[in-house]
Amino acid sequence: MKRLEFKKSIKLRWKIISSCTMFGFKESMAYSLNNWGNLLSMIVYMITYLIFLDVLFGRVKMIAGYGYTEMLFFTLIVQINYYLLFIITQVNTERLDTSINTGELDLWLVKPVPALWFVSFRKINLGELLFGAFPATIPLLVILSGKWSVLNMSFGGVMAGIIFIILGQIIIHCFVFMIAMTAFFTGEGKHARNVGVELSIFGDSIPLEGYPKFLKYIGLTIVPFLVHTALAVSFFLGKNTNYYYLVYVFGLAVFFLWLKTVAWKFSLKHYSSASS
Amino acid sequence: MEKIIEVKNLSKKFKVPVKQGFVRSIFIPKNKEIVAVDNISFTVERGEAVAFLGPNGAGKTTTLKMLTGLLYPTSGSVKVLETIPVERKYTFLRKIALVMGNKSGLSWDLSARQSFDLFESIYDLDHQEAMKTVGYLAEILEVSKSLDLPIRKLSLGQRLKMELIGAILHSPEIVFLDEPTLGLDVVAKRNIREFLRKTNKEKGTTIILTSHDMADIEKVCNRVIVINHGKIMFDDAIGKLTGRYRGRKYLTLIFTEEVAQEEVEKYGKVIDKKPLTYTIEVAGDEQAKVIAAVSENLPIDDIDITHVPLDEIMADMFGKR
Repeated sequence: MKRLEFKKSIKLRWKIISSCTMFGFKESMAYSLNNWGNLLSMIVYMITYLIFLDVLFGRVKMIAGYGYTEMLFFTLIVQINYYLLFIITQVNTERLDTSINTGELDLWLVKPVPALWFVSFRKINLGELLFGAFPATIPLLVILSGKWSVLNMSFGGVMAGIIFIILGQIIIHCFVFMIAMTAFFTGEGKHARNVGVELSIFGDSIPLEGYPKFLKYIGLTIVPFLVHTALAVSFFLGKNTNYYYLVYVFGLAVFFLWLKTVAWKFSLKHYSSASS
Repeated sequence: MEKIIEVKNLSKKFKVPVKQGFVRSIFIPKNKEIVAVDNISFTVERGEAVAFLGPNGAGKTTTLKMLTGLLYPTSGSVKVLETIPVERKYTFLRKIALVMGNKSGLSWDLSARQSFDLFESIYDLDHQEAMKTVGYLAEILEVSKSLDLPIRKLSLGQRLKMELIGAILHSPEIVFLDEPTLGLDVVAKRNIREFLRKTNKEKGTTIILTSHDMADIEKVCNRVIVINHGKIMFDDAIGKLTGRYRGRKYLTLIFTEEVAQEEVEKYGKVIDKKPLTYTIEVAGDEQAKVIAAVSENLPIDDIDITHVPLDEIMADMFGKR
């Protein structure tokens, strides 16, 4: 009986995520001019950043032990993680904030959906992926295309790197979401949410090896900004082969998922709902 | 009849910050307690249509939110369909629906039909059945032609009708409505009231409604719970509420020529005045005498006799603590 209920629960969650993804895609396509504008701005940003990197490496050979090609690869992972964070976490925390503020959340809390799962994945902005992430990454991929052999990648390192990206996204999603839940108590949490997002991309500036010890410690524990990008790239490029990190980060992900659930239940208990 | 809502000694208190100086409010914040719902008890049977009536801030919506599991009660107990609402069990949420007049659960950028597709997935409804239900409900509510327009392009009345369709697509056992006709025109209000009445009568759906509009109450519900300052002041059939005021009658006097107010005031208390028309309040057992006297002494064209309107009854009740 319990196994049946578990299967039913998984099926419902999968249904919610797939329906919301389709729904979110339709919503993002509703205003086509907006998408083209976004695409243009992303491409301009990427080109500007690549020029910056080119100029920087005209003056220095290494940054924190990473050469030019390695930094390009680091930038690629930063981009992938940034867009994953944006389309899954940022959009949904923004929606959560608005729906708490306006009281629209009430209408979703009375629907037969696992509420936390639903608000976490209510909108998966595939439109952003299509019109923002992918095109903006093309210039980077073009530059990297002839240079893959320079990178010191092994199968184990690549697998570990992918796992760290996935687990890191889960961890950082929980982190940002918990900060966004302050809206339950304050009525609105735009600035708190922005702090959460800024902290989550704090580790996107320099590789793991460039951070001082205390920041490394913080970034791999209580404010986990180093897992999804810096740690992942370190493994991708063979700079780090301590596979103990896999166990540690898995444990960290489970901890943050648990903490997110606890925070949600606590927040709902103190939810006062916007007045009608 | 089966009791599907049981509320016992239910209370809800909110903490609100007390206004202080900027520095004090940060370092020594002070809160005061507001009692929104104060120790209320009532039951609702399956198939009833019950209205919560009360002035702004009376506690109607707070009560509704506790019945739907949105708010945790401060004290007391509430059971809906034999479930504690705040536990938010799937089986419970599957059987209820909530419509709020000033909040929208539909996507602003997409059409209603596209939002209903999402609901269909969430409620695990058969696609053909769901489309059939949407078509049927849209026809009753006269919004069939608007199903494929983006919500942002619909009028308020059309939007609310779409909200209603979305809310009852899964055939809930109880529908909670908070001010469902807020801001609507007369025709839209009539449509929605008829629809709710039909849903209640034909499908046996229990309706719990809060409204300021007396016509909503009179046309849709057969029982009213009057709440003021968080307490229940009246809980019975609407007929019994108006019955309390049976001893008073309103006479609308339509004259053929202008009559001074002092002349009319000799026969009763003037409640309303329009060109060539006065409405006066008289004791029920004196209405025949007053009608005879007015007909004899004043240039009367027509006389209309009504019971004290429900909104007057409410104004009278809300004036009392």
